[in-house]
Amino acid sequence: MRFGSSTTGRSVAFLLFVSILTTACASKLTRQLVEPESAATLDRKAAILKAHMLDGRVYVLRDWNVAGARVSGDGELLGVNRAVENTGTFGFSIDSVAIFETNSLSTYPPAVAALSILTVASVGLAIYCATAEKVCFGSCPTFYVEGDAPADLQAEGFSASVSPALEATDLDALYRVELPGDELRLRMTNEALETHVVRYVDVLAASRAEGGRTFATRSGELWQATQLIEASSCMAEQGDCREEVAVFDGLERYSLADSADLAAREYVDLEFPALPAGEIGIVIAARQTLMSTYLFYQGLAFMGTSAGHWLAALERGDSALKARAGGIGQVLGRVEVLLKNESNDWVVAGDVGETGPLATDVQLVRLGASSGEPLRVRLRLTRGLWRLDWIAAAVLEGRATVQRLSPRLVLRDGIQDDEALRQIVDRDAKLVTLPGDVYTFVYALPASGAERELFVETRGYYLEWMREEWLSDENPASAAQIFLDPPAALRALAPRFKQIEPKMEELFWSSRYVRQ
Amino acid sequence: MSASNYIGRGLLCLLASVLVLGCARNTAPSGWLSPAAEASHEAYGGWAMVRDSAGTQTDGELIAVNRDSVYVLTTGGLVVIPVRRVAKLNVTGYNSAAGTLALWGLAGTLGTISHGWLLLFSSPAWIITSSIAAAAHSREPREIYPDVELNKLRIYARFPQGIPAVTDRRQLRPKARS
Repeated sequence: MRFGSSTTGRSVAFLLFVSILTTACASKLTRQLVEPESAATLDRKAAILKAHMLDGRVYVLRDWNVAGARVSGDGELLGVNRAVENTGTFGFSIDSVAIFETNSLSTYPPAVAALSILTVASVGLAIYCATAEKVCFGSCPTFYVEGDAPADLQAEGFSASVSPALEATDLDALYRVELPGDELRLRMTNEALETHVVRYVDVLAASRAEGGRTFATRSGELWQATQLIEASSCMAEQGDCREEVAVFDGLERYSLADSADLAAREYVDLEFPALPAGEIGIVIAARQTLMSTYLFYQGLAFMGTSAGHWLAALERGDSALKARAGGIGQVLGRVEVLLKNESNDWVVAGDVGETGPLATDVQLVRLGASSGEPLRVRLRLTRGLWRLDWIAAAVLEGRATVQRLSPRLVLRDGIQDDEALRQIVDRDAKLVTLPGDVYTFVYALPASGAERELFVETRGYYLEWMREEWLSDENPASAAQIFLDPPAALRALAPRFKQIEPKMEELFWSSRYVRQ
Repeated sequence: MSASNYIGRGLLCLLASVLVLGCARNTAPSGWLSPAAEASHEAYGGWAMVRDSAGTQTDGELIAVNRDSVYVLTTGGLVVIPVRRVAKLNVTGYNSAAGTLALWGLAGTLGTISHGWLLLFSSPAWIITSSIAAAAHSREPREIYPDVELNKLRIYARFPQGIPAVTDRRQLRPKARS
């Protein structure tokens, strides 16, 4: 399958051709019968008047007129078997008419109108995606849980691993999955123009304290929480954000990017009621906006025809380049959690957040022992980069015990695939997927649903397919700037990003409501 | 769900919806019913499917409907069915060309491939809208007794005024297929 402007052009042209063809064919014909004595009520706007005569013949008239007892018009006289007997201009007495029939043709019936509106919207979206392809195409391996209604996207795997050299392990909480049974079916899809190379997809079944939940830190430690306490206040530059972050419900707190510097930071100040004695932490459910996706694709576009050269250098083990490859991500940073120290200065206690705009991940930052006082926390994050869904303070009870599970069965498009099972279980093998591929991994789960917390741990990398359209954006100087001076690149790209940000966010939000 | 699978399943759904659930069907021979624009210049009756109380079905051109009888011109000649024996009369006045709407829906659904990941939302919109639109449009030229009064179906008859007394019924000829 080939995407891009040529595909867009062809599909738009085909759609328009079919729509014009259909509009011409799919008319609606409305008929009305009128007795001769009611001729005054005839619909004068009707294009066709049929005068059914007492002898069974019928006049089919255009430019017709019924005046007094006289009927006239241009057209045809048809016999009882509807063969044409005469054509021309006719005039006859209304006394010889048995009944009139008017015919009105609507070339724009409701069905055509509905599809016309959809066509305009669809063509508009196609053109938008052709001009802002970075917004519409691309993601990393996406994971859904089968049998979980609605089948929400649960996780994105190794989103930042865009080349073999950047192969990485990614741990995502399946926080919203509540499966009562002893089997988990995890569907992995490749929905983008990418090649996904997956080394493994394991499920971690962690213990859970009674009435509590278990959370992962960014380093992969799993901690049990017994109490989760929502913030008593949440303030940001834009105002009160308590409602947005109170519950993990899809209602998110977000802001727009800075117009001069995409790395500009903002603060969110939270306060929680006094927590009981013991170790505490803060739980944050967040995902990225489309800014990081945009930046990644813009980087590839700047590399253009030399993208292969850059990636090859990365693979050759050019350590300097490898360090610089993640530079822009480091400048953008994660969601930092700050606490006040004894000198009343805000200091970083930890951070959360992973690359990817689709799946919301839940992570924990440990804060040490509770002081018994109300807890004040400040978040420092890049403007316009993060969507915060839920923030809660947690009372921790200790590390969870963890059982690692490999799939016992793999299905490809619903059919058992033993070779794929071997590839995903054998750590030295890799499962390679292409756009459109769907694999379902089946796991046997221990314990009951209330006693376990599920996480998915993936390892691998993916290769983005270059798009023809991106080549026109080739700019070696800008590509070099991204690697050599990320802060400057983020300032330079700010105006360009701000141009598409409103529309991009609008699309994102409208689609999000459907997904909910 | 992946892009291609999503579209593939969507197309199947569309076809299933339109063909199995959606579009009104009739037994008119292919090409017998004229499209709306053409039908407005003709004066034939619509295609009738009459099922009587004994379960016998009569198919043909609706010639006339009067107070006591329904007249259908079949390939075997004019059939007169007493109104009291008519269990169901389904008449289609013209070819709605709903198939082209289904084709439009297919083209639109296929076209969502140019929407990137947004096709997850645009393709269901196409599938649902076009299925409903095609199904609704296919019913535009159709009326069914007993859902509507029998008298209202005469608008689809060759002789809406009833068969004229002067007409020799044996001389009535069926419409030639286009």
